[in-house]
Amino acid sequence: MRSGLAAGSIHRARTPVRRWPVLLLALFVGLALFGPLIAPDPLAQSLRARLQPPAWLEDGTLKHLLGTDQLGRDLLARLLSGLRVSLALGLAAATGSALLGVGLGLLAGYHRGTIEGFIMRLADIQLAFPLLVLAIAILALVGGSLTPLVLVLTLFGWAIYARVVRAAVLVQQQMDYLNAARIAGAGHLRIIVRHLLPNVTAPVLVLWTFSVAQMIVLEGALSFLGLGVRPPAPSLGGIMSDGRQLLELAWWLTVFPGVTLVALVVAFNALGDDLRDWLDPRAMRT
Amino acid sequence: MTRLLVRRALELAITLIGIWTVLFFVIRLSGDPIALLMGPNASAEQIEAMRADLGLDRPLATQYLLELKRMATLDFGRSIRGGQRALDLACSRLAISLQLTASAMLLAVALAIPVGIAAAAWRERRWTRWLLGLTFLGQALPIFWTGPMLILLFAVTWQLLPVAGWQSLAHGVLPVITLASVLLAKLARMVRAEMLEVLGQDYIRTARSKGLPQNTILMVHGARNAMIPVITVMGTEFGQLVGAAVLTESIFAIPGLGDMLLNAALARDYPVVQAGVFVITLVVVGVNAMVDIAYTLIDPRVRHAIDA
Amino acid sequence: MHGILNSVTRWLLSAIALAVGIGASSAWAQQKVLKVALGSMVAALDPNARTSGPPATIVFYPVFDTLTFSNDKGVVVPSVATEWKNTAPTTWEFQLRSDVRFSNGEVLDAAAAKFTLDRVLNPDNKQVVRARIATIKSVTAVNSTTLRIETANPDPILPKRLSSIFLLPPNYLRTAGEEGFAAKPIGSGPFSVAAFTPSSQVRLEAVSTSWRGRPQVDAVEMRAIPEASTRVATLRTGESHIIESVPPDLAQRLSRERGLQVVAETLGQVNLILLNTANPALNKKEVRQALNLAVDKAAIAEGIMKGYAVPTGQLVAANGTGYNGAIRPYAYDPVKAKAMLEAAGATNLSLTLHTTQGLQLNDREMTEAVAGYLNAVGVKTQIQVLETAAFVQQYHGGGMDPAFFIGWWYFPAMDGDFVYAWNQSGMKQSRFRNPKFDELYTASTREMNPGKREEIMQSMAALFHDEAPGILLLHPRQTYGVRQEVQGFVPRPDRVIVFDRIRLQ
Repeated sequence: MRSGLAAGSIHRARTPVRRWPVLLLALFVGLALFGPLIAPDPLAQSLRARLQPPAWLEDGTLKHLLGTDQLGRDLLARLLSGLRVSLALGLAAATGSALLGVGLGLLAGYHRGTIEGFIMRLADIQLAFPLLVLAIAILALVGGSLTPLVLVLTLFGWAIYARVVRAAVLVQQQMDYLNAARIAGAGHLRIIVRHLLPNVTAPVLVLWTFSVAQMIVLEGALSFLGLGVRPPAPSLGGIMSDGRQLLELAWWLTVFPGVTLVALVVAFNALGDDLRDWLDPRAMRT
Repeated sequence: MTRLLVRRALELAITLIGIWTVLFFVIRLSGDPIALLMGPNASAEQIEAMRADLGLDRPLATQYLLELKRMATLDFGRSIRGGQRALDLACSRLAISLQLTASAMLLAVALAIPVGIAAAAWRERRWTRWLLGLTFLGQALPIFWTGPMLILLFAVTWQLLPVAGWQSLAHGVLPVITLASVLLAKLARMVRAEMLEVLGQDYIRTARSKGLPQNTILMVHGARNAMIPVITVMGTEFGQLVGAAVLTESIFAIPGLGDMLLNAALARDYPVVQAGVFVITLVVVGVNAMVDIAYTLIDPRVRHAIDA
Repeated sequence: MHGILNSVTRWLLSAIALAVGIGASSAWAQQKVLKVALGSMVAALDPNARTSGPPATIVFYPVFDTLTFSNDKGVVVPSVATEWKNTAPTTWEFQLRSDVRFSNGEVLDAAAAKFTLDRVLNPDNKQVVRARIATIKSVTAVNSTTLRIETANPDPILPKRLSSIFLLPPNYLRTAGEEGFAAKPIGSGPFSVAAFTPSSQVRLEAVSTSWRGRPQVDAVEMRAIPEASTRVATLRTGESHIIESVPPDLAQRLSRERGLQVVAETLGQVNLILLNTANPALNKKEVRQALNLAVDKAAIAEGIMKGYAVPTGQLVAANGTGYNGAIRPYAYDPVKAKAMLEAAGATNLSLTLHTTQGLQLNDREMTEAVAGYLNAVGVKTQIQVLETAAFVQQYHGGGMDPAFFIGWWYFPAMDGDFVYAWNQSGMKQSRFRNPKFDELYTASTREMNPGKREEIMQSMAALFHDEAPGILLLHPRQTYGVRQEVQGFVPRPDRVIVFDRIRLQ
């Protein structure tokens, strides 16, 4: 049995993980993976067919189930493509910041002293810094491709992991079994990987779930400013941003991607909540 | 106590310089503000002249040291676009942003506590789940959708509130709600988790089948405990809120620091950007520090841990 | 007893407060305040120095005067200068009004005008507007109402150029200094600045000291609302009386709303995809012509700009000097375009179109549309969106090969010179290297006879059209949302709003 789940938890809630978030996310992942293969071309534009409403409304056609945008592109196709981009981005950024944060947190918690101080100071700076300004500057310099965007989002997310991991490690440091391992001659790396890492898995997993949701929303904000994923393959946030001038007139341009976005975020958040309740509600607090 | 204060002040200074340095290099390396200022429809000789005038033609390292020296005297130079003193511009806009952000924070806290407590105390009930879900909705919906939607409903259709600006209390309602929605879910979740912890201990002892605590003392105790994690994150959340405030100010045309920062960054008016970031960092780190100090005053155990 | 007295007093006090409040608000209600929402606001009230062109000019024209002025149709008419003539090819004499006063009482005479012009021309002052009047060699105040200007070379459009220079009070500037002036500017126009938040909002109040007469509104409040949906919302609720830049898709819907209308005017501006003629893929004019034929400009004007644009085959619209009425936009003929590309051996063409997003209305959308059309004729086209600052930098630096979206304007002078200038071989910004064009352009800058000059410019237009160093798209029309309470509003090709004659019902 993993030491992480047993150690340090006096009380554990017996609420199981709900099914609907998992199912919903599975659906989205499926759509993201296979949707674009069966949907029409999201780039096919037709200026004569712009701003058509969804199929079940007057003026709508079955050819464009969810309607078209300002350039006549099929919204459903754009939506599936955007879902893919949003998910990929969220997962990549969350994983990236998790890796970075866990690494730094382990380092800080294990070695203590100046390294710890330095890393924690950096973490404070990252948490305090208004991301938007940094994002504008960096993304404007390097251009609007996927890689720098993921890098910037990663830069934004690691500190919270570092803090949580360091705190968890500090708790573990007090435990006798670690001293026993040291006395037995275990090297630093072995201790970190075999003993400390499993114990931080739980809180990191919970954080990660929330992070994905957060990254997806954040990218939306950057898209609003024109700094998110560039056309012609924008994220869900980007599609919403494109249609935001026509909230009333062409409501489908913002409502459908919006609903998808919200469902995605809510599902991740709900999953994160359930994971936390399941694993250990107390240990998750930072 | 004094040691803590001194340490905090030192950390503040280091943080300020650190952020400022990052900003300096990134912005300087990222593009030419003068060309932007002139725009595509102006001539090219002026560009060279202005660049020399602002010392932008000197090597980067020289610029850095000179600027660092000036920053120490709180001289951030003048706005490239308008010529006003950068720090003056930033400070003139600070009050409004603080009002917006603080109000949003207060609203979020004021709503999060009852929602979180309810969600924990009546966790089996459907309505609490829906309530919590509503807060999730607020966080998930992008601000650039929530804001305009609220405007469309409350200002245009029902004519209950004004659309944009910051001239009266009525003007503040929609932007504050929009901004608070970003934070509400997170705080509510925290309160709920804390309350669950508190109630959990009670469950073991009293084994109530319905899970409906009648004990008001318990609720009060729970609420007080719930405040602790909320206060803890106030500092860092304040910083994130400031970022979200930039979007809010843009949508509602509120002349705050975030709006100024955004325009300045897009125009690469970096004296203004640096002054703005400096002020924001000061406020955020300052708030963080105050929160930490307050925290240690509340809980001596924490003070011990920090000093360890 | 005490209690009753207390409550009576309290009641009395609140009644007084209410009365005062009502009185004050009704005094306020008498004030006719025009509320305008723009897309952006100028950063500093120091005309001539840092910005030239809208939206700065929207704030400057009510407050300051110019020697000459562009009227609603783009024709340069007298303003502070009542008449002018050439006494020699390089010498101009301007007669000035004698009744012009700044709002602080200072006189605006020839000496004051000379002061402003010298200040702009002085390279040490680094005034942005200097480039507009760089042709001036010297300025002399012959007497209080006569100004003599010498140009380095014959300059046929000097009067037009002067419509960009705002006249400032010399004494006040000297005593208040640059900063003092920027904090509290003083001009000779019918409005004075009451309050200003840089890049955000400004309040102008009517004064009676101007030769232009007292305006019919008491105050104008202008603010920047960058978010289009918010801007439109303020029009609908009445929080704004006039808004600039109504998104074309909303315009029709908005016009149908009670109490509102959408008006528009063709701007002195042109949008095109500039092609780098030095790039081997694009150096054959047949290829460039083919690209022009591949794009359905009418569909873009109708579809993306919702009709608020005029497709074009040249740089200048009918509202500017240099317009050639004989030139039609390239037809939409994708079949012919494909054939021409094949004939020129350019079947494997692949292009990247660079563009900004939001710098011009629908810049990205138009570029995406063009890319779509080019792809449809077999040219592998993708677009790259650049952030404004990066775009401008590369524009001035000769980057963004091989093509990019650009919007050039020629207001307020409304003369094609300002857009053709960009295409001279020597300019860093130019992607066109054509000796014949250079020759024509230089001639146009020296020809003093308006008729002959017009001819030269029309030849330039024809040459430009034929050589096709760009995919010529359209002239945008600026839209405004106006509430019915507003009378006397006229949309102009230079985006300036003349508040002097606007009335509020």
